[in-house]
Amino acid sequence: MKTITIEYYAMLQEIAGKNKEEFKTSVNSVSELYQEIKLKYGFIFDHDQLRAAINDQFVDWKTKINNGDIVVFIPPVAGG
Amino acid sequence: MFSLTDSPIALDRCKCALIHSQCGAYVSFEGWVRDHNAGLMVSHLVYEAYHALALKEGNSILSEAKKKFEIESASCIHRLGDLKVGEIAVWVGVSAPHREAAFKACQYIIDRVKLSVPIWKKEYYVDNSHQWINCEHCKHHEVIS
Repeated sequence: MKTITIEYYAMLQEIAGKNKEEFKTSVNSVSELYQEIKLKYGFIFDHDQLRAAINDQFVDWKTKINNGDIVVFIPPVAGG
Repeated sequence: MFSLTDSPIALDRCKCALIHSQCGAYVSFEGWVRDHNAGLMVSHLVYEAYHALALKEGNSILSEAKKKFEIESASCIHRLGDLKVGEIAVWVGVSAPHREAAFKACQYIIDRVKLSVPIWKKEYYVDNSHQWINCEHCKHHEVIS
């Protein structure tokens, strides 16, 4: 079991009702982690509508998550 | 340098930092808050950022621009928080020996910022509805009243 922190922004923050949480998981990849929290909160986004970041870096969906990681799922951006 | 601010962007100070005697051209872009979007009248909007990654990605874009175009300096500042119609949401400035590179780099930077920096915009409309921008294509998205 790994303990990680997940930070939420924008629409994901609104749906989850929080801006971050400590989360325990047994999944291996960031993709599997998203499936787990998507189910938990009923997120509306599919993988192809998001990006993932671990420890302030964009990562590929296959990237493994490690104990202590800070993970962020990034909904469609709209800066500028 | 790419930076985020909660305060109105100080344009003169931003420009000064880009002045170099070897540059003959300065090009800037200002993104303003518009009063309408997709047929809806905007009352105000709110920008939110994943700060650490926004700064990393923004600075990475400026480095890319410096490698890609013959420019001397480039800078970008993005506002966060509540903005009213007419306020400046983002400023990009580029200085270069010649104008062609300055124009191209400026466009490159704002296009890349809009595509990849983790900043989100929530628009509020005069009918009291609101929505997160670019989530229009998401499943079950709706304008919330």
